[in-house]
Amino acid sequence: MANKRALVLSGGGAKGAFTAGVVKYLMVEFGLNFDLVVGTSTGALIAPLVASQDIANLIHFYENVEQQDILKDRPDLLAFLFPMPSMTPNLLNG
Amino acid sequence: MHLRISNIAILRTGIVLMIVCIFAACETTPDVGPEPLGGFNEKVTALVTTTIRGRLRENLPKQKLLETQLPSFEKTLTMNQLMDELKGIDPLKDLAYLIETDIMFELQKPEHHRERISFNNPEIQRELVSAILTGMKRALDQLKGGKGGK
Repeated sequence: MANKRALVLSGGGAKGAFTAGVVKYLMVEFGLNFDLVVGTSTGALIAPLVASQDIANLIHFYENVEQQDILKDRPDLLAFLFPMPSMTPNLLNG
Repeated sequence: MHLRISNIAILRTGIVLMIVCIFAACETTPDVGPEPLGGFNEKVTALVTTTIRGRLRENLPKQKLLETQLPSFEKTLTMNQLMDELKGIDPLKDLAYLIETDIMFELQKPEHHRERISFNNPEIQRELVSAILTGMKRALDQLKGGKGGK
């Protein structure tokens, strides 16, 4: 049975940007190809782009994603519906 | 007192539900994240930007050298001319080979068939040179602390 090469991509949220750089080096500069690509969490998001050799978009996404693409400001509905009396005056008054 | 607070809560719940229903009725999906790169030249720019930024990070003399050479590079008409100029500058010689590797990596893909079969076309070459130069400028800008440079 012929040897096959696999790439296993770890998770770690923003650390995926580092993974993207390593993958770029391995595939573009070093010329490696992988028979199997698997990943977890952010690695699972990277895996399809690696499998399709779309390294340019992989880098592009990690470089251009903005905070509001991931974390959106949402109104605090619970605080709006059930306002709690402020504790601040009591604390200030000792 | 307790009943009055409950009524306010119910009223607010009703308002929120009404707003949620209005938003749910809208079929628009907000665009999240950057648009994917579609074309060959855009992808070359992305690869070249990363390559140059990686190689010239914390190497101010090379950054300045590349910056001073940019006007000369802009006069080139083909990728080979640009690469020859780059290879002629000893400290930047390795960049030329890496940029060539980036371009060849992208060019061998099936979706870039048009660029591959007419690679020597002056228009394709002009666009490619422009894409490489854009990548160089973007990398230098980012290294100076521009967007994505830190």
